[in-house]
Amino acid sequence: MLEGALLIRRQRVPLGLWGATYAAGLVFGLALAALILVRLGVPAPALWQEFVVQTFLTSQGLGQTVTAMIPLVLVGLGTALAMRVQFWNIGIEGQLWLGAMAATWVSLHDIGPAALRLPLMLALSMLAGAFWIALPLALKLLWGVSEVISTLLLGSIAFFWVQHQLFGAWRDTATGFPTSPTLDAVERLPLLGWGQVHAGLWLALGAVALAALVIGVTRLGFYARAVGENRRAARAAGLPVLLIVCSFVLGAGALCGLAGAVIVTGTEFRLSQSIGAGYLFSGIVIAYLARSNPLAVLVVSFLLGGLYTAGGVLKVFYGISEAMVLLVQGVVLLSVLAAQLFADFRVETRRAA
Amino acid sequence: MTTLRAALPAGLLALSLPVAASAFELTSEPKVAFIYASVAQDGGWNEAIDKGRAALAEDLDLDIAVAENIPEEATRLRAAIDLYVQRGYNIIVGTTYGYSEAMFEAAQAYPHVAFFNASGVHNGANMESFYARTYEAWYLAGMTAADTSEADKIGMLAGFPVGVVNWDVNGFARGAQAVKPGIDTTVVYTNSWWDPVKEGQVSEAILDQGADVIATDLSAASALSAAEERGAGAIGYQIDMSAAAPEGILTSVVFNWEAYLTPRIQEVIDGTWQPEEWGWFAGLASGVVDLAPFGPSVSEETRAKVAEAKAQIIAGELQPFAGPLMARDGTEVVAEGDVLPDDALWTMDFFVDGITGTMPSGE
Repeated sequence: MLEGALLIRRQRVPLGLWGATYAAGLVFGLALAALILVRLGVPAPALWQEFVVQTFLTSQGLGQTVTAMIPLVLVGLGTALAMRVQFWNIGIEGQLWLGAMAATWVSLHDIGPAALRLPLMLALSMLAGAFWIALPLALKLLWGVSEVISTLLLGSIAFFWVQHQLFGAWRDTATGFPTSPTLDAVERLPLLGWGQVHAGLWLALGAVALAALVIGVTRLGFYARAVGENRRAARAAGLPVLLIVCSFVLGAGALCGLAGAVIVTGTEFRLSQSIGAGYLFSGIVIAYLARSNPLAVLVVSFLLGGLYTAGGVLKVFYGISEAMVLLVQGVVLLSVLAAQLFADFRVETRRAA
Repeated sequence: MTTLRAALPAGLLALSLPVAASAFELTSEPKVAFIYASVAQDGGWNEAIDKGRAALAEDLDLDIAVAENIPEEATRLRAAIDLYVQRGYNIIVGTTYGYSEAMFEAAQAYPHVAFFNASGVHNGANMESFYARTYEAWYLAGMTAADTSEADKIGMLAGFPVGVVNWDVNGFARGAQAVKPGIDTTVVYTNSWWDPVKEGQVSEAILDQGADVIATDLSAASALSAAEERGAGAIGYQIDMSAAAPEGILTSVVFNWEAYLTPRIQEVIDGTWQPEEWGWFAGLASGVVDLAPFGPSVSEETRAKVAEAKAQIIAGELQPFAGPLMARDGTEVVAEGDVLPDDALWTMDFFVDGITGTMPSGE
């Protein structure tokens, strides 16, 4: 007789099971990735050395991973906050560009006293990011315009705006190339004396702590969960739905904007056309894998940062092409995502009638 | 060799380290690495440099490491450099202006490593940026185009309106005007460095307007393929693009980076390298930039004219941007008897008279 398999959604996912499926997915994905890499000619003994020791266990490698992690945490957290209230923010890069532009604008015009310049750049970048997400938020609230489309398109507009500035008023006149002039020393986030790791790390950790606190402890966080589960029921229950949605979505935009400023002030020290690439993809992956949990965002960002560091190693020493690096990264992420199935559902087999 | 001195105003000077009076010396066996922002075999810019790398490897019998697709982001580039240095690489060559800042910081962090950057902006005790006076070759290409054109209208595709692109455009137009003073040069910027589909369409659009020669300042050959289909003349860039237009090809402006790289890296190995204080910047005379062999449709007469101009440029008797040089808006940029200084080259943001088209965010 035929065996039928039935997926039954679990009402509650035990924490141990949740962790176990993640770990199993990760191990399976890494094993698959290792297989691909060995087939591509990377010597098998080098895999452990390059991808575990170099990426996470040496001071230099760990420094690179943490540096890559900092903006990832901010965009991941931004996406997660919006996701909590069922707002699909596909305009992460747009908000990031706006934040980067705001910070650059403050720097170029030397606004405020030198001591306050950096805080001002960071604060304004959050406002700019929030502003860029406020537009699709307003469209959605007023006329029900799908934010998936409007945030995505505003991302492109932001990039054209950046290009307009870089080829126009903000172009570095010293070189004629489309990058803004480099930032003064006071406008840069201080280095922590560990590779390229900068004070943006504290901002990222602070943001995670704050978000975890708001979501886990405060009434706002509790309400947000209700709104995310069922907006109409939440409204019927008398919750301030509009306030909750607005504060989470604007917060999300502010965090993405801050990520832009952190990239400009922490590692790039100027605005260029290439700083924001890839953060849309990363942000969504992080938020999804972390299930919008702030602490998990931190962990996933760290692992993704490691994946990027390892990707650099592959390119540098083994001549692995960009396409293959993306494939390998994709295999790992997909298998972790797919493993969630086993946490969310239990599989029952029964004889077909 | 003329220098970049005037090109670098005070802000940049403050950043640049004074160049040490003594030569740079390696502290260990030479290990060379090249870092590209896209794939090495991109059919254009990187491929030209990679051709130079291959020649360098053969000439000096070196085993050269290559990293492709390292984005123009400080963190990514720095990570790659750190990895190389950690494993004993001590000569690192970057290939895009977008690497300038991060590579300069790395050069300060690793004083015993020699850094080179193509089209970069920084120089120091252990770092040298290099680029070619491509406008000299584009001037010759412009002469070839104008002499071949029957419509007296030629077209050119360009990427972004930056100095190093604008001087190609203006050099091309000046060369064309040297042969036919009234010729129209139609220029379109694609706002990208690599977009084969768009470049093919733009090429057709320029041909639709009546041009009968298409030149590209980009890395894809699709603009040439489009010209070939219409029976128009074609001029390539970076590498010999004659394969894309075997009939219509006139010539290509090509790089021979080994003419710079091989002697330079040899100097580093010998311990005699002293980085150019304002970067290495030379033209036809150095051989780093040149014209590819002419196509079948270029007449002997044209070849002779171009050869003569080339000899004059090499001898320093002919300057593509010698006065009187009028910008399209009517202002006189260079007076009779003067030559455009190098700083004005790097920041060139105008069209010379006789160009049709719009420069995004320019003029």
